[in-house]
Amino acid sequence: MFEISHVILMQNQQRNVLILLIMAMVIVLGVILLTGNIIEPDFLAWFFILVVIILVLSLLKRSISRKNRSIIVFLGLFMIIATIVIQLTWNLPDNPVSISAVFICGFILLIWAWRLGRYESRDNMIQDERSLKIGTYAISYSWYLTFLVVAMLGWLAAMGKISLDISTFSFLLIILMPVSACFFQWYFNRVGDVF
Amino acid sequence: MYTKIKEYRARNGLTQADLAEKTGVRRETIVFLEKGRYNPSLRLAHRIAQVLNTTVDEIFFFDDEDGEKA
Repeated sequence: MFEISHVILMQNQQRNVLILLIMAMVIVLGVILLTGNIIEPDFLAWFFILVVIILVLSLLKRSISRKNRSIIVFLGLFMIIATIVIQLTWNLPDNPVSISAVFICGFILLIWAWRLGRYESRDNMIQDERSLKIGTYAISYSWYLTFLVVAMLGWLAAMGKISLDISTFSFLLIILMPVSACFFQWYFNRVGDVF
Repeated sequence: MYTKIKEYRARNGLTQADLAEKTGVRRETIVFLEKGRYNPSLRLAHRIAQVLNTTVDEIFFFDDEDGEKA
């Protein structure tokens, strides 16, 4: 019975990854159309971040194995080294936010992989109903927090207190959502359940 | 919620890790279950009862029920 439910769970996860990939394609096509069919380095950097996020999430949803952790470490190192090489060799007009975003995402991936490694010897590699429930609620709470932050920023911008360009705003959301989701996951895991 | 998982687990000579393995969950889930800090799904409750050779209503009690505190 357990094996059957596990197979159904895996099939559902594969379907979810497929939905995420389709959404990513729609976003990419939307961005290309909105920017007048011109593919710029900034666009490629954001696209790369989007692909890495989906890849890492799908890997972790499958299993938190040593192999998947190694892939995350490789991606993190690749992002950091690539940004350093680009900064040193390319003659960039100014310091684009997208390049910094790739660097910080790579750094976050390395910290994440290190954190996962700490739990490797324990039974935390298993995804059971409690961990899935906690993960789902953590993402839900993260979404609420992000909504509040967006509302607050919109309010402050409307009052003329702050002015954020779209790149900084997007970068803030890209960082806030996974970090807050990790925080809520950690908190609910300590409490035991979501009541 | 109170449970008698610890008592039945000892009767069956199982450790928390054994019960976790047999029911397909993390050991810490069993820890939180024994402390009454996690409400399991009906499927997990049934699976635990099966492994411990008992019934669901023998091991799980809610605050408004007449159950002995584990």
